[in-house]
Amino acid sequence: MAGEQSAPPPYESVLQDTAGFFTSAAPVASPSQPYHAPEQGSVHNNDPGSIHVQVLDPVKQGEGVSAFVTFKIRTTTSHPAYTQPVSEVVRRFSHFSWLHQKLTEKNKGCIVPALPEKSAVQKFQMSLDFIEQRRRALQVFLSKVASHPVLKDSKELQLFLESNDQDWTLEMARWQAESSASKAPAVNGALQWFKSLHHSAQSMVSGRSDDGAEDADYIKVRDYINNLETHLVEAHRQAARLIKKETELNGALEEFGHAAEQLGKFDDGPMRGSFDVLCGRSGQIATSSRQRAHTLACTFEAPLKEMARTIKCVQTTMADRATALSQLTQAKGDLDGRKVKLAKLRGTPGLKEDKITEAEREVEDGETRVRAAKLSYDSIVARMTEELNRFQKERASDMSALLRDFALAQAQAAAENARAWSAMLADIQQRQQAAGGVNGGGPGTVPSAV
Amino acid sequence: MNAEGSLPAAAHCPLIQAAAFSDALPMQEGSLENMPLDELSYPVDADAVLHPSNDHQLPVSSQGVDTPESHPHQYSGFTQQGMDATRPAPSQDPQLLQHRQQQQQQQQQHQHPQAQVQQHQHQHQKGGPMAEFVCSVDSPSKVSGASSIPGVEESYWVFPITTTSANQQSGPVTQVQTWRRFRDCVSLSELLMALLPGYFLPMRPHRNAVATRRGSARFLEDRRAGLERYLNRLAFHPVASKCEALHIFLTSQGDLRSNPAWIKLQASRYPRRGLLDSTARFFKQLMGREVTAPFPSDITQSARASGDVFRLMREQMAHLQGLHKSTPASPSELALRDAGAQLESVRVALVALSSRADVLVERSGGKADAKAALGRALQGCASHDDAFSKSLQFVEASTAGGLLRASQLLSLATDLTAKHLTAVHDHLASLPAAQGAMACRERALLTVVTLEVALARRAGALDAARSQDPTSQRARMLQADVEGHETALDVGRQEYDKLAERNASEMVSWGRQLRADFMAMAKEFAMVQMSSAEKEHVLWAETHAALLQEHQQQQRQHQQQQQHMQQEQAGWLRSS
Repeated sequence: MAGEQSAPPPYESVLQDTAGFFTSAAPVASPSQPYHAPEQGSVHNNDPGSIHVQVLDPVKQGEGVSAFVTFKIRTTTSHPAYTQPVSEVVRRFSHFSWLHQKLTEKNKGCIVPALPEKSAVQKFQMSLDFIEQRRRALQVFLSKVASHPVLKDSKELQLFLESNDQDWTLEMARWQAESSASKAPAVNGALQWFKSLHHSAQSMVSGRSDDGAEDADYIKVRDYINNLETHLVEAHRQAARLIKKETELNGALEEFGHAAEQLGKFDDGPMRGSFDVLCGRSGQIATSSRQRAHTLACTFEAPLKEMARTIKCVQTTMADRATALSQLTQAKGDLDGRKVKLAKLRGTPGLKEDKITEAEREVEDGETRVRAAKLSYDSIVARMTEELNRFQKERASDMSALLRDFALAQAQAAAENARAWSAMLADIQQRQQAAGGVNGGGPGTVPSAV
Repeated sequence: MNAEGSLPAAAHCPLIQAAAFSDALPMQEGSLENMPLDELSYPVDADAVLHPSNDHQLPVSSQGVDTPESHPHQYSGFTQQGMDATRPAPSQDPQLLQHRQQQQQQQQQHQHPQAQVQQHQHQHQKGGPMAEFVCSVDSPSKVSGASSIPGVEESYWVFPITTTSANQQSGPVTQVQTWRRFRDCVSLSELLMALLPGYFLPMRPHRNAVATRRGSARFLEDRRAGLERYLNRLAFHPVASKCEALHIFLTSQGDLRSNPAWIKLQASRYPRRGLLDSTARFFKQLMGREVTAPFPSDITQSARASGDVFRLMREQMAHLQGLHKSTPASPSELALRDAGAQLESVRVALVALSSRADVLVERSGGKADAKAALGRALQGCASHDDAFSKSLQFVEASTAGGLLRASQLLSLATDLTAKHLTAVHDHLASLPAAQGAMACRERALLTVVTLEVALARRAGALDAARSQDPTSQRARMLQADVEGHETALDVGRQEYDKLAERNASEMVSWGRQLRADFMAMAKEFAMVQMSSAEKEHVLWAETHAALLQEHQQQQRQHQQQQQHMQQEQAGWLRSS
């Protein structure tokens, strides 16, 4: 693990700068952190168990295909389980996916915040934009985990945030071994898959699905969330398209300005001045609105994308619940079968005693399994009810804040544009009037020939 | 979110010092000359644009329409169209066309012709030439008449053209209406070009045989607008507007092609002799039986048009030898050549600018579309969230509404921008005519130069012949030829001088017009962008205020709930 920052790559300073720009309360960037909704932020700062996490300083490590980016993670906490109030670690993207995986495994029923998606192509290109975008997404991810009522107390998070290089390297090695081990013997998985296939075939034949056993309210919520995903994905797609169109328009405006300037060169009078103004000002407008489009991509498009990803995580949780339920139903079915078998054996005269004992033991075994499955399903249900509630509330407030910020940004952008255009108009008028006073209809574009 | 606490500073302070501007901006002064006079093309009313902060009404809501009493005849561009934004593009179907026609008629009833004229004049440059008349072309109607093939009926569209004389010095205002078909317009433009060489005449609308057959409403509307624009451009031309041909075209009643004055004018265009005559003459000239000097009456025509084969060949040869370039030219000719070269480079720049303008308009429309699409996507979210949270639904729906209105606003601004940028396309379209007029002068120069060379040669030959035998047949022949050439040269020089003078003066007024149009364009372009941005700002500021209010209300409710819960808990503790 390359934790040491021996040779800072040349672009580090740039990235640090941008990081500073976005963390400081710059006027444009101020609406960029809708996730620290005011009520949440203030509560956690006073709360004794609060954890504040910052993802900083992306540093590129290595070269070529094996290159990767590490981030410095600074934790400030008053959580009793943590040994130090302030700690700093260096982590790379795959470490975040470890955290995500562990959290998902250990906290079934919890909605674990979404990680940014892995992108092999972009990772290979390692553009500054991409790194910064990922840094921001990871920041959002960690903040969400650290403010999650259940996940913030998890051991995994503490390990991730606090452990020193040695412990961490060890843990990573263990994880790699685990994941390669779990891949190798596919028999278990195959067996489970076969069973579930059997189960679904059964339910298909009997025309009944697990939905019957589910809470009607939950089914409503589930369908709502499933549909929500399409809407959010669409909204994100359109937002991205709008930003793209905006950028295109800026290019066109700039080119138009240049073409006008070229034409203006053939005039030696006020038209040249007007067109010079047109070119200069429209270039400025294009530049500033390009910057705004970039900011909008960070503050509007990226959060929308994150929301769509979070829906995916909710869907994972819902899938877990469905699996638990189907396991419970399977276990119940097994148990019923065994009970019938036992009753048959008991009813058959002249049978060996040990066969009945064996059947009785099987029934008992089945009962424990049903109990275990019921327990895990119930715990998922209990946790999920709470989680879905929290998720919905958070989403509502996030979305409202996001759109509020969007409206504000649009208003500001329009105001800036209006100011720029009116300045251009004033300039043009000034030039025209100045020129009109001097040579109202004097020599035209051409030197007067005769 | 600290930024929410206070609205952007811009929301409080008036964006534009409106008063300062309205003083600086002469009303309507910079309008485009080539604007068609239909309702959609009134330039953005400066007043309505510059005082958007006075009325905080949104442009797209129907309440927001303000019709300033001071301009009863004029639409206050932006606002009025804001109301019509939901209407499809004008004249896409005959019903709309009819509707438009009715509107126009109403307008005309209300307007005294004098007022109409003044309004028209008002839209043009103060310093520029005055229009002789104002034309308005109405929607065409279908007529069937005898075709050029006997015994076959053909149907065609005729356009009612109403001409109002606008020159106050020449007498009282009169109004004449006549019916013309597009073919008449074509022959008018050909006739004018033949009668007035060397002038930069406006271009008539293009012919389009296929679309004419089909006769779609859109095409007819385009053609109508094009005709109107063409005639009104002619009205501003100091020479063409006084031309007899145009007068006949506009005022004579009945079929133009059977009008005797028109036929006479048409005939004067073709002084050419028959093919047989000119061929016979060519051979006689080759044989030396006939003088090679062209007829003086032919000189005003181009060699090709006059049918003088000998002259044509001589001039072609001279052209190939580059005689007109090697001959030392007068300073005025050199200046005109520079101007011609500049015309070409302006053309190149205009081609670039017009394609950029198209791209700009297209992209602007693309952005409007994208905004609308995002608005619709958010509307989808809103209707989906309706059952879940009324507050969220409200937020999403208002943002979506804002986006949709912003999109409407933007597409409106796009339309207006496109309209203002037509100046670019129009000037580009008028360049070939200007270049043609320059070419006329160059042709005349070629004739002069060729004649000069030929005369010198003939004079030399005459001297030689005279020194041999002054009374010989050949000397007499040469004598006549030299005299012929001298007369022709005189006429040719006069013709060239006339054309050069026309070219020069046209060049000046062309440059002035270009400058005026483009400065107006730049101003109006900026004005449209500014007013659209301002209205968008108002719109978003309002949307944001509504969202903020909703947010605060939500927070208040939340606090109340918490207080309520705490009280309940306290009560429960006390009771237990």
